[in-house]
Amino acid sequence: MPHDSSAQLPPKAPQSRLEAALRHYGERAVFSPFFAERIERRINTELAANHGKHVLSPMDALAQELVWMFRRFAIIGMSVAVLLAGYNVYANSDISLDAVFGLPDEMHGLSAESVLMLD
Amino acid sequence: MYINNNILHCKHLYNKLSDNDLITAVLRGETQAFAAIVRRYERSIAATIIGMLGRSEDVEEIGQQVFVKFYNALPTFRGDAAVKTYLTRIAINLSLNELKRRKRRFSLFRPIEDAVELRSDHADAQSESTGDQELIEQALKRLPTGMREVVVLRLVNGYSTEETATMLNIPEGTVLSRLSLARKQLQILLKPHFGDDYAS
Repeated sequence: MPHDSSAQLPPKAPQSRLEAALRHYGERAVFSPFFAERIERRINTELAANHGKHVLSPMDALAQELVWMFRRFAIIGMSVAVLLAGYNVYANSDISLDAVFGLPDEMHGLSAESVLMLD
Repeated sequence: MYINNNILHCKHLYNKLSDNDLITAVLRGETQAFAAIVRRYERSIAATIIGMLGRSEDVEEIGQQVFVKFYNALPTFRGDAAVKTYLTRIAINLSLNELKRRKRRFSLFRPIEDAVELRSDHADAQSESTGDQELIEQALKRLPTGMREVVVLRLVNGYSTEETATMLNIPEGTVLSRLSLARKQLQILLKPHFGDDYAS
């Protein structure tokens, strides 16, 4: 059904009537009221959430620090132990546990196998 | 009452500040200054998003995302482009992402939707203006994305050809050619409803 929109739009040259209608459409395109306040609240909530992530209790901070230290030193320690065990195997030309741990052949009748009850 | 007056006074002061001063205030931690930036540009951002997507439930969320993205980018904002340009670029990009998402979701139903003629659900005399708005919205939706973004910035928002070209990062000649094609297409789409007045 054709509309006569001349009541809403100012009389303009035909070419600009389309532009006027589109401009009018743009003027009526708005967010619901208190949009800025909602954004402000959203940002404040996000800031508070991010702030909360960084503030830890002293015990939590200590635990986190210990975990971090463990990870760092455990990896280095394990690497050194593997290297030393490999060196022992290579130096003794033997793959027994005694050789791996670098124990002497006679240790008061005890060997790593006997201690670990492998015999 | 004293506090309310203070807030009003503060808002009034923020409204007088330039964009750069407001950004400096926001970086100092004054989120109310950011609210002033939002109030300054919310209308043009709403027109951009609604022009691109039509009125839908997603519009408010995308509008919020535009400003939150801008807020998060403020520490690295160098001011090479005007705030308005920067915000509009974000709004266009987020709208295009949303259009892609909708296309993926509704691709099966698209041929049926396209086959439907432009029609308004508010054709009665009391809501004639609302009906016109709906027809224009539907006509905009029929335009290809490249043309639609030019029409939204140049004709709906009223930016100059130069500003539109800067915001879309395309040559001014491309803006003009897309605009010319879009005008013709809009006139064809709207002529049956608005008569020859719109179709010259």
